[in-house]
Amino acid sequence: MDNPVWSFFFPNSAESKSTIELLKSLSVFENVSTRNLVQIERVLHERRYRAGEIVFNEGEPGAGMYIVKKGEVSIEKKISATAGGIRLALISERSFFGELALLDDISRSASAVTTTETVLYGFSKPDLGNIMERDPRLGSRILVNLSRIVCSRLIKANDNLERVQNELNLIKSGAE
Amino acid sequence: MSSNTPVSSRIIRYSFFVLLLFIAVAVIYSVKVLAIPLAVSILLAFLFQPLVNLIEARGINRLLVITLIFAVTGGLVAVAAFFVVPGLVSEGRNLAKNLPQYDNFLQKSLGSLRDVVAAKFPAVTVPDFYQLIKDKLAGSTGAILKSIPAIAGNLLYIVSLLTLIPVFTFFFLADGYLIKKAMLRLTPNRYFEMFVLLFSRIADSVQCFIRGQLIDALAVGILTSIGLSLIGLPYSIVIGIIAGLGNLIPYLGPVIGFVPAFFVLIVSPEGLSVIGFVKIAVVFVIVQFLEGTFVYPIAVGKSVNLHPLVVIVGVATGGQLAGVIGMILVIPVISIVKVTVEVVFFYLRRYSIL
Repeated sequence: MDNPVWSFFFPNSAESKSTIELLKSLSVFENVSTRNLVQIERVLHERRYRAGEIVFNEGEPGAGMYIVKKGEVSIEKKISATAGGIRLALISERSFFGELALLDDISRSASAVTTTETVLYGFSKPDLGNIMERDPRLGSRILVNLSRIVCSRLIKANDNLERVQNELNLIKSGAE
Repeated sequence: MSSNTPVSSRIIRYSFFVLLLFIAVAVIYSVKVLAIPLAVSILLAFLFQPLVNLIEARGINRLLVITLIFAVTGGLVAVAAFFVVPGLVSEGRNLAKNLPQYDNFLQKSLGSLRDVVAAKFPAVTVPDFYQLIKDKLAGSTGAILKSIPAIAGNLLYIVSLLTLIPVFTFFFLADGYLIKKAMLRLTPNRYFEMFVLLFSRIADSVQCFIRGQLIDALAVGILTSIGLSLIGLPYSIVIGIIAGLGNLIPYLGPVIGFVPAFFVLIVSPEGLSVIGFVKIAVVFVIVQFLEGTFVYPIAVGKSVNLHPLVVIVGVATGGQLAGVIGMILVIPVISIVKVTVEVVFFYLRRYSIL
């Protein structure tokens, strides 16, 4: 039954099983046991969005990460006040975004807008803090996974920077 | 996007939230019986949550941890009752026995005070202080005596409190996050993140405040009782309890405990003496010193700082509204409101709503 009140009191075990399968496939929850995933599933916030709805805005404080259960989310960055934004990425089903907000109090570096009807699972920073307090082992595992993700992204960004630098040098030497 | 939706549907949506709020308030108001156990259990849950989390982190099942804490707390309360209640009962019995004597003393000393004043200011008609106080007291004690049958008649209510509070506290500790989750489910998508942060910050601040204040009051109460019984002042436990409760009121706290101690000294067998006064003063100074240097910085820390003017106006208003209980409760209530407003304001600014 698709009634939030009903499902609150009588959680659908088949649905929660499929959610746990979804969590298992994500790199943030790598090496996390099924028993712990059940704990995490319990604190997730299911949010339903229409197409074109804003999930969060660039510059606002971030409260946590989102997992796309159904639909698609566009990550956009404003270039100037008038020109609007450019799309940085399209986040499809069974992936996640906004995970940097779990680590720090930094503001959102880009906006997230749904492109179609979308169902997201919100995993909030206070909930991660609570998990770290109650089960430090599980908390540190998630943190290690998060650092791995950030690390690989940094390496990629460095590679990109190097490539751009090289291209710039080429252009410069060509001009001379 | 929500701004594209027609105004009518937005009005319906907001009416829905207003209706929900209205129903909640109506339910709580109509079942006032539930309000006190609910408030007390939320307080207790706030108090015990860090301890439950700490033990749970060692890999023990949460329900088991809560059951364990309940058993230990129940045991401690029973032991404390075993030691404190007999003392309290004998202090009460003494007070009842000595009351005529105190009455006599008061009549005599106030009578001589009246004579002195009358001799110095012959032009003034001096009222009978003793009769004045007696009339006032008769009014208030009469009210208390009248309310005793009502309290006893509400034995059922007391029993329901004693059963409801532990049950509510148990569920708040075990499944508190479900309540938070259900409330967050009702928030609009646009403000979901703001409410997530708001909820956690408000809960953190209020939790810290309540825990700190209770620990602080408990420490002052126990230290005062011990100190006063060491110097041999009667009614040390009662005065300790008053001092502990009074400690919830900043600035005025130490005075609130000192006044009854001073009165007890006046009517005590030895009577008012400089040595007796100094002894009591030393006890209160030491308690304040211990509280200020060791307990307060650890338990309360960076508490909500209220301006002295706010404290004075608040205490006066609280006294006007609900007597002594109002005076004690008003400062914690103001502090909680202040913390909440600060957090809400901070996030409304950061989300550029204000």
